Amino acid sequence: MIERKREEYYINVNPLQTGGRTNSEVRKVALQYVDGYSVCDYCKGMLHLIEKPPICDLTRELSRFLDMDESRITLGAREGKFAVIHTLLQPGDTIVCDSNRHYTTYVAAERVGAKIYEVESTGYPSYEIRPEGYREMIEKIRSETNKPPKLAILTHVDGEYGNLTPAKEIGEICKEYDVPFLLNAAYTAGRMEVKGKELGADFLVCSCHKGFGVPGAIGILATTNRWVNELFRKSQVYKKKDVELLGCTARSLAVATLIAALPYVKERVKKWDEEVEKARWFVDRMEGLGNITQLGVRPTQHDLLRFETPLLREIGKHHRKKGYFLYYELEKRGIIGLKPGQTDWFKLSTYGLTWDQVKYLYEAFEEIVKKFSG
Amino acid sequence: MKENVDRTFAIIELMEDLRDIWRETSPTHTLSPEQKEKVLSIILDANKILKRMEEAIYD
Repeated sequence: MIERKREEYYINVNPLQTGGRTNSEVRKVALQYVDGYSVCDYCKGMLHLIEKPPICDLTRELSRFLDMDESRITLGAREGKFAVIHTLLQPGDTIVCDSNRHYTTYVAAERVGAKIYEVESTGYPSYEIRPEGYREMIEKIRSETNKPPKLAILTHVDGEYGNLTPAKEIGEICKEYDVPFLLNAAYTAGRMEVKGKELGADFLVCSCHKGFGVPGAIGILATTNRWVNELFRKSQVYKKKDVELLGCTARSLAVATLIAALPYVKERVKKWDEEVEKARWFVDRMEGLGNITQLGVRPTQHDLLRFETPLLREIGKHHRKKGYFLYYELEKRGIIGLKPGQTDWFKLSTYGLTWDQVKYLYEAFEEIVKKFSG
Repeated sequence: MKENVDRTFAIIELMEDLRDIWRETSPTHTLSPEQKEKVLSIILDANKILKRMEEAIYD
């Protein structure tokens, strides 16, 4: 039998996993919809039209929640990105995106044969994406190809530094050049309030197993009235089926649990300031240990934290377990989620932890540092 | 026997509530007075449901 009890035994700080942790109400629904095709008892020919369970209400609710005109369920953010790129671009067309992007942005573009132009970040130590970088890159593409890019993609918060980008300003630049704007909200939607149209997004993609506290695999692809017919175009033969989505996407417990999770998600985004407060408290204490620095924009605006940790690297040099000491010492104290062997730097997330857990987390680092340094 | 199906789900659901408490209190699982009360109440409810199910099987 395979088993996993990590969330129950430990404090898990893996940034990939903290926003996808489920609550009991979500798991109760998961139990009932665990069988394959279980949401298809009353099929209406298309996933987003099913009334029982109320998936049709879910997609309407999601559009309102994300301030977009129409939404569809996908298998994740990457599938949403690919659907948009595939709809808008032909091989050889260009995309402008940020250099902090997820690898799937690149791969999705590659699959279509599009050419990517990256807006470089400011580099060490803040790795910021400047809005003006988008203007400069659009101008560069125009001068090189005699036309603007077919699409601009922005990673709202990236998975390396947890930097919250100025999406609204970039959205305005895109509007100025009439470049469709896709916002990748995988690390923001479901954690904090994201209002797509207010940010100027033509397309919004979300990862619900990353940010909506559900098992997945499930995401959201949302758009505005301007693009609905093009993006959600129907098959010539199968009149109800969305071509880009290959018909129905996330079924069974993935979509049923999203229905159950949405009311909780609507409440938890209201507590985002407290999540940021916890992250900042933790950064402040960690830096107080000496020779540990938070990379990325400061003060942090997100729970995903990247630390540069020469202090721990030095300890690792003299420890019999070398760089692995940190992983084992944390595990002994009931903390997991850091990559084994990493002591030069690491990423972690404080999202969803109680204050007691955040304090425990810091105290574990403090204890380890005291035990091994000097 | 439909009642026993419902009871089976009711017990699993109670266990999921219990699981939330282990998650919130990991890794030490030190319970506050409120959490202790909640855990005991879940155990009590689960026992009652199991007892009813057992009786229904014997009937």
